[in-house]
Amino acid sequence: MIKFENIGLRYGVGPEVLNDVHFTLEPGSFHFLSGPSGAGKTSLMRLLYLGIRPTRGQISMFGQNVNDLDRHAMSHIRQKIGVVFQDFRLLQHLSTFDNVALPLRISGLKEKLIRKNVEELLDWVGLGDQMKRLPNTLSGGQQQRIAIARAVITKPRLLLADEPTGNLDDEIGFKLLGMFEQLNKGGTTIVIATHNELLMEKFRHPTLVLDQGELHIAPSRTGPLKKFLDGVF
Amino acid sequence: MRKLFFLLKRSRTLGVSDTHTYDIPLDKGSGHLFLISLIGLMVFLAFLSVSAAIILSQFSRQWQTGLEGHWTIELPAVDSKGNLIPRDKLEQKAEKITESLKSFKPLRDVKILPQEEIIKLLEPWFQVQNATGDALDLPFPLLISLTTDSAPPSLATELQTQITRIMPEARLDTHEEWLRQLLKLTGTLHLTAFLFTVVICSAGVVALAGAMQSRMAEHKDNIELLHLIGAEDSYITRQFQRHAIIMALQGAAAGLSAAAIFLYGLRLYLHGQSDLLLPVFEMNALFWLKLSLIPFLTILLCGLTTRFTVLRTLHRML
Ligand SMILES: Nc1ncnc2c1ncn2[C@@H]1O[C@H](COP(=O)(O)OP(=O)(O)O)[C@@H](O)[C@H]1O
Ligand SMILES: [Mg+2]
Repeated sequence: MIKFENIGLRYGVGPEVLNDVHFTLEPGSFHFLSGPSGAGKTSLMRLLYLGIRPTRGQISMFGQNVNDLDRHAMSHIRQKIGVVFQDFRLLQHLSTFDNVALPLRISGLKEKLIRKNVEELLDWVGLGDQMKRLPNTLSGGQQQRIAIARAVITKPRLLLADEPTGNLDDEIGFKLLGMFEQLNKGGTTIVIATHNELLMEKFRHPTLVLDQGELHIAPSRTGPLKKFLDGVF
Repeated sequence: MRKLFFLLKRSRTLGVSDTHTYDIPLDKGSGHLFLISLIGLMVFLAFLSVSAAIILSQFSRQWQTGLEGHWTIELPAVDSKGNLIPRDKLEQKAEKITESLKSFKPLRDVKILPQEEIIKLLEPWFQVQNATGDALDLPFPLLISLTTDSAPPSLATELQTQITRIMPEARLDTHEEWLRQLLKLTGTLHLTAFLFTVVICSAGVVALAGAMQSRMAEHKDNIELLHLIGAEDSYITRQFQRHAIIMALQGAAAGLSAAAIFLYGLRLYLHGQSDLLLPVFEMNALFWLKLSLIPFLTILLCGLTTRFTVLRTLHRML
């Protein structure tokens, strides 16, 4: 479904942030993306949600070569992708409700249905009583949940989350991962950038490891911590 | 028109919140009032120049119908050598001419204008009240007025020949020259009004395009986000367009009110100045109908300008 071939990326005249990255994501797969800070996780995510173009190499998504897309086709593909940005990127003048409703409005859904879906989801992420609040009156964790809700509201075919549990305590983090798994069972392909070892231990999924611009694929983990956690949860 | 209402309607009242009119906070930016006033001024000036053009045609039509078919024969009080012709001799000649014109079929109402009337006609230029020819002791010409119903083109020359036979100095005035000058003048003024309107509109378009560009720069991050979650250019453009149309409506309303007040004031003023020889212009339904096109076109122009500008700028983004 998604194929990166010999992808290289640099910002301006800087050094190569990604170097000969090569991988394929099968439909319905679930991957973690890990690596130290500054390794290029966010950059790889940007490539995936068509936020930037690679300096070299070929990306194909949903069977189309990204380089050949016109503007219309590009937004069409983006509509199939849900993104949780590392810095959330909520619209500060819009309420919680409207932020989450945005992708549905863009896709032209009826307002009645939008209301039903958004309210349901916000209840689910525990923000049912904060619908009219503006993002900057909410805590970091709450804002992150808005960002996540906005990313999943359209039941996207590809879900990208850049450190989505960064501001959440582990218990809520696990709950959210549970939701991602549920989406995954419904067919959504998922990539989650994280360096939360606990998460990767608890939820066994193959991991794309970025190190100094190079990508390696590590099989799902089964370490001692995983066994310990299985006992706890 | 229905589409316009649709654009203005807050179609999202079903949403839980009241914050959602724009995905991009266009309604909260600064420089609103400036743009609205600018559009208002644009409408006001366009209004004035267009109504000036309309009123001008009214005037020139009134003058034309007033002059067309009304000819005069002028019998100068001095002959070609500059000698004063005695009054009674002048009157004799006039009688003779009047008599001879009876054979011309298309002529009606051939009559010698009484001297008091001529003086009255000249009064505004002389600024003298209750003047009489004797008191002024001026060599007033004698005027014969006549009306033609449907004069064949050759009539004027035939008449002139006939008159010349009786009195070589007498001259037939069909006001043709005067009418030609008038048409030339109104044509020039029309063109000026048109160019003026074009300049105003161009200035407005440039200012609006610039404002929209800076507003887009201001909200670059939000626009990029909308793109990233799949919004098409048209979706984003629609919001800017709606914003522009609402501003255009406000500006047009302001400009319209100002212009209406101004025009009524002007009309009232001209009414009081009856000695200016200006016909009173009519502000009838047709007049207002023509002028009501201006706000409509302004809104259209603002919408299209915004659409074009935003789409072009969006195309330069990823
Ligand atoms: N917009 C940008 N312009 C220039 N350099 C950037 C930009 N974004 C990221 N980088 C650089 O690219 C490298 C990888 O960054 P990033 O992808 O954010 O890594 P990570 O998300 O793994 O921390 C870093 O060295 C960072 O400084
Ligand atoms: Mg990052």
